Amino acid sequence: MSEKYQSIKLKIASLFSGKRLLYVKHMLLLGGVVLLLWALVQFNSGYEHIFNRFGSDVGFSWRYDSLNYDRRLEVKLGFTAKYLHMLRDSTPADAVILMPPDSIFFPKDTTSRFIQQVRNRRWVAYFIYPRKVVYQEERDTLALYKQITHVAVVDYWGYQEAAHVPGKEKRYTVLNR
Amino acid sequence: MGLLIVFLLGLIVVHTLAGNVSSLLKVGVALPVGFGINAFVMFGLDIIHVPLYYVSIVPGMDAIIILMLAVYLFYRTSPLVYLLEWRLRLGQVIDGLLSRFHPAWVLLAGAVIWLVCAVVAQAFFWPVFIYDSITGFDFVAKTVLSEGTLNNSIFDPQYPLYTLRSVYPPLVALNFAFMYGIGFSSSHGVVALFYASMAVSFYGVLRLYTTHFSAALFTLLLIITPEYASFSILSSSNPVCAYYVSIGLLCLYVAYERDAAAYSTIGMLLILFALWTRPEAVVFAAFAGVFVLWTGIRKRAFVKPIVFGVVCLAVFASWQLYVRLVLPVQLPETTVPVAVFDTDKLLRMLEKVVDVTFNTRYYGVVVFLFFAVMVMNIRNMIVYKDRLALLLLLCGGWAIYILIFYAIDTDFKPGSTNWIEDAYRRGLFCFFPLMVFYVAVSRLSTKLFNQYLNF
Repeated sequence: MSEKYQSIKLKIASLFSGKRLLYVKHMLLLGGVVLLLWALVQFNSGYEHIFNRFGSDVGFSWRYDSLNYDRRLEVKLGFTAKYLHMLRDSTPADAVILMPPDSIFFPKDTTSRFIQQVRNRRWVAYFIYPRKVVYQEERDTLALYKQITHVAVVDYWGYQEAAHVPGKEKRYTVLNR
Repeated sequence: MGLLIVFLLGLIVVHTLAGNVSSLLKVGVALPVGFGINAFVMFGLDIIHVPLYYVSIVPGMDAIIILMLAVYLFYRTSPLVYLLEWRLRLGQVIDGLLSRFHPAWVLLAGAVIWLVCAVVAQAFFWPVFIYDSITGFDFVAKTVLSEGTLNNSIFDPQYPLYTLRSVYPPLVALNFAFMYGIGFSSSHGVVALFYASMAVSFYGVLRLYTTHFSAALFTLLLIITPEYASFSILSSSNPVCAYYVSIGLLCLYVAYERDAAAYSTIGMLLILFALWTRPEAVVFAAFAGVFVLWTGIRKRAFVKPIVFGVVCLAVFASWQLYVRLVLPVQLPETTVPVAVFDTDKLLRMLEKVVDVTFNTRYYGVVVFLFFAVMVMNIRNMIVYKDRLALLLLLCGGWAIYILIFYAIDTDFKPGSTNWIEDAYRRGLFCFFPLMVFYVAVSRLSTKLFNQYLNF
């Protein structure tokens, strides 16, 4: 029995010597690394987020590579970006656009299609640069209010501020003052 | 082509100033150094009223600098010797990689490459959409390109569109403008390239102390830090600042520890560029200055520290003077001198600091790993003074960084501005490379990786 045991032991020892031992060590190390990476992703929500999100986002960017810059922005910022692009594309570069008051962008009884930043002049100006925006609330504080050339229409607000009202009213558009 | 010129500019400047730095580190720092010089070139052109909307001028200026340095290098070193040297070094690098070629390293290196490619691909795909950049650096970049100067219509006193972030030092904004100028539709690429440079540079610095396997493992651990990787896809100046500060400090540490002047030059250069990324970098520059001075005193070499101090002051002052004398802006002061010590305020702030610092969703295992290794290494620190200078750089910088937040004019009560949850959270990126580096090169890890796992 002990002879048989000794020979098995020797056979195992011969399997794990020289170059073979090196391969075994490499495989063990590889297994250890795989286990470590799996554990990091499995037990930490931060790593899990990176692993899942990066995978899906790279796939998304491959699938939608044909989208142009504006469409990509609209994917991120939704209707707000679409509306601001409409303002930019429908007005000349030197336009001064009157924006509606907060109560129109964010009515109390319904969910708004806009994001909060649309109330921030500095944020909006980035998307429509070099056009300028003036908010209804800045009527008394901003001298530029007197130079308004266009009116942004949101939820049918703005027609009363425009010089010429077209026959058919649109919910979202921009008009000459 | 524009990016290639920036890379070559950085590479040739690094090679001229610090030829003895490892080839991998040279490649890693090439783009960040190129972007840094690019910003100074653009600022200089703006000062002498050359419009920056002439897209070809900046790469043209960069190309002239490259040619001048190439001619200088040609005459400094015999081209034949130079080529032979490079061939030899390249051979050494390839031999080194092949002799250490094993499956675990391949897996780790593959994961690093996958992560870097994923960040770069997403950065180049998505337009800028984060608030800070839209009302800050990216808006400045777009107006610089459109109007040809930093002093443009967003600083118009009659119709001001600037925010505090618009007057941050201009390295990031100017390079964003450069990206738009050379034809990219989004400026995100700059930040993502800094992320890629971080991976290469960090691996390069680690390789000076440890094995390929260990370097790949810890590089992956650094760049997979969830918050850092996520922010590198966005148009944020934090990863840029983190690159300059952390790799700069690591190079200064290598210079101190190995008495290698070339690393000290690169370290100082990177810290200098850090000064032009974000306002808080001035604290790191001051701290790096003290470290350089201390190293200088130990080695009785004072010229470099003095030159570093003077150049840092000049660089810092140049932008401050520009903001105060040229740009018509009025900015609120956010920091106040700490005249009275307020224990309650400090405790409230520290509570938030601890919450954010030890949040594993933001930073994974990095912070915990750092403290665990530090505790396990206490004996080595006492007996062998193991990596004390590195710990001093890391913990000293961190302590001063926290003190800045204490000086901010806020009470840290619920409902106040989220300074710790936002600014501190992202500012911590500067310390992660140093933390991971410490974990990788502490006496314990070195023994584990160089002795037991080195086959």
